[in-house]
Amino acid sequence: MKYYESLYIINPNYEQDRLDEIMKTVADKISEYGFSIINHHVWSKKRLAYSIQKHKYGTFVLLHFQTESAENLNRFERFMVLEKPIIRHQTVGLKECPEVETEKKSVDLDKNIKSMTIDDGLSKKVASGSEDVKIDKSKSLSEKGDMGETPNEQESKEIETLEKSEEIVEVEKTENIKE
Amino acid sequence: MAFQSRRKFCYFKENNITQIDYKDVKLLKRFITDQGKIMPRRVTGTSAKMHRKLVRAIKQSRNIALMPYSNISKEN
Repeated sequence: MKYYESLYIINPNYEQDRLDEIMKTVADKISEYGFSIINHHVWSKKRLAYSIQKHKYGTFVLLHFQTESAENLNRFERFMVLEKPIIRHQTVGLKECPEVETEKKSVDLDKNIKSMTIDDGLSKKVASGSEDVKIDKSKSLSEKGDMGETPNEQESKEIETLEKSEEIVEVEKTENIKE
Repeated sequence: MAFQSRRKFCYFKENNITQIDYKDVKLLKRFITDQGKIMPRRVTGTSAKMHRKLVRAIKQSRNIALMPYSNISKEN
């Protein structure tokens, strides 16, 4: 029995659905050529050390498979070259059987890259800004005394608004007395 | 003796590493220069056996774009 490890890079612009499609086509080809898959999962989305076909990033997919005879290996290599979404691949022979990874790791594809880019920080700022706006709205509503329209937010905020509304009610009472 | 050279040692023998994985970029980066060249054995002190494996791993890593062939024109 021979064991092989194939690492291939998929076009980084492809989303999860198309990624799954490509992985499925590869898996189908593997089984068609008489190999059996051990592991097949997305490794991570990484920055490439040098640009390939003008791509700076790439989605790395790791594939372990085993076979009795290496007859169809050349055909498989040919298939990988011709497949357009795969921008680079490399198959390496292994001496020992690789560990079977039963747990499917849910890899956050954009997680690695987000930390590198500045856009992430901006979006976070925007998100926090919107929260501020919400709080302001709730405050303004509480000042008016319309408690029914305030959205269910955190408990602390509600307590604050309640206190404020009570104050307002008291003020209104005093005004009524004056009249 | 006026000049005492620092003791060289094989990193892999010291840490009982027998197989080098080309995906382990963190490890392989220790054995390349800033330009991306593979450092010679006389500098790193790696044993001949492990140096052969190391070179192979670095070249595989370069092929799959985990490590650079050259870092000279990094600005582009």
